[in-house]
Amino acid sequence: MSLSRRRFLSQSALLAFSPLARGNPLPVKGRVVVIGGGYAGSTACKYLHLTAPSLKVTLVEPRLHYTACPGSNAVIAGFATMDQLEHNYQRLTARYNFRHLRETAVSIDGPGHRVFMESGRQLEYDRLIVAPGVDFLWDSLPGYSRKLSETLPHAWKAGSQTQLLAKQFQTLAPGSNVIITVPRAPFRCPPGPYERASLMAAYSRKHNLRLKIRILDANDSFSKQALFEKAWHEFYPGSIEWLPGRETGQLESLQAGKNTVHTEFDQFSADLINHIPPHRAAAIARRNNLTDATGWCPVDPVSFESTQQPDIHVIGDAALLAPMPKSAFSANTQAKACAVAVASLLADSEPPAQPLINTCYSLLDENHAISIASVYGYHQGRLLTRSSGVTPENGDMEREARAAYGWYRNIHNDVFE
Amino acid sequence: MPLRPRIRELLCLLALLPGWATAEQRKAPPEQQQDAALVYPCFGCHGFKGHTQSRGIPALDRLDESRFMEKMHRFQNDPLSGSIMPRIASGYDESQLMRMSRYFFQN
Repeated sequence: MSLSRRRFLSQSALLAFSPLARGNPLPVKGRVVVIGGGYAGSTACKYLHLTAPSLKVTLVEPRLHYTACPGSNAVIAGFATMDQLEHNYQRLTARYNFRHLRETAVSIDGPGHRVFMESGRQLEYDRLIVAPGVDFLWDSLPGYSRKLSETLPHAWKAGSQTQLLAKQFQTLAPGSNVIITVPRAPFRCPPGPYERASLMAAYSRKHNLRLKIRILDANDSFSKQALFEKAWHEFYPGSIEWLPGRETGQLESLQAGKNTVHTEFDQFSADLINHIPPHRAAAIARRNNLTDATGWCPVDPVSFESTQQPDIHVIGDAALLAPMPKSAFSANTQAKACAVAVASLLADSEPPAQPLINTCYSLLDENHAISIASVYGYHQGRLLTRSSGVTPENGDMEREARAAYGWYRNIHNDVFE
Repeated sequence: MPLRPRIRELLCLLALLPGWATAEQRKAPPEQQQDAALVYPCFGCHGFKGHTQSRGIPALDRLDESRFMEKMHRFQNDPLSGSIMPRIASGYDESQLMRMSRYFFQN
């Protein structure tokens, strides 16, 4: 027997307004300000509304669009376009009823619960979520500077840097040499430099360019190492050379005019140098007593509340949340847990301590990928890994690639739609 | 002389009191919030509310309670039964899986 249209509509309406279908929102009021509209900040705004729709949420983010880092290596390798990386905030703000203030936050008055904008404007909050991402240590390598990055792009923040590196890379002559330098961990997207090398080699293979790609790594091991090295051997024999810090010594200087980098034990020249500078938490966190000596923000791993300033939460790349890596997925999962924690704390409830996940796919070429996936839990107030693993050695890398593209579509649906 | 350590103990206790009192006053989070927090990470791969936008990743919103449990048990027991799910499923215990399935079934 089929349901009559009227009965179906009346039941649908009841379901839509039932507490269970709405996720039983918390009836809590308060003002929450979120600084930064990347994966962490945008997700936090959306899930704050879902958890407690009466909250007054303001996103402080100067940009109109967000340009995603995941996928940017595919732009450099010529099989994705910049517009595929762009995500705007309009749908989010309309659907999840928060305000997008297009300003730059410059300082925080913790005891006074106020955030000051570059324009002089100020916002009051009951709880503040800081998700500012990373800054680069421009002066960590003699010969390199912020100014130089305008012609020698790092492309480790997506946007004009990605376009510039793509242009420089795609116009290399056959037989050219490329150097990618990798900073000492922790840095955002730990498998990213090795994916970049893989996709550059894929481009070289496709266009028969015979490029040689060297990775000068400040570290002695890297994420998904065995899988990457096996793929390089099978897909791109002789094209990618990984040189760990223990063999070359650390970077000592860069001579842009001669396209040369010097290390403690050696020197390397290339037609294209892609120097990825070391990172630390962004300035707003550093200038407002949210960072410690590591340059990152220590937080309680359940509530993400700063251990240095009450009522201020830090999520995403700026937060010190090892063993979670600094990734888009980590930021997304931390933001949801933080949104529930903030709403719970405003309702005088304990924040729930539920497992967090990180998943990260790396493309080897347009049709093959590998992945890492981990679940994190808590023990005596500390975050620890409950399960973790990479693609099995005999795993289906074409299936992983299909999942990687699916992940890309779905995480943006979760964050920005 | 024995008074001094006592005063110190008392001061330590007083210093701890505000934080302790706040934590004591807090209620346990509502069950629904706990279940939501448990399930939210899944949406990062499977799309918002498990409604996938891609054929590369299965939907969660079309599963029923028993099918969800059956799939998760299979992932836990067979490392080659999926892409990343065998690695993720093994990070959850039975009661967490049951609460996740309840969330999907009820929502």
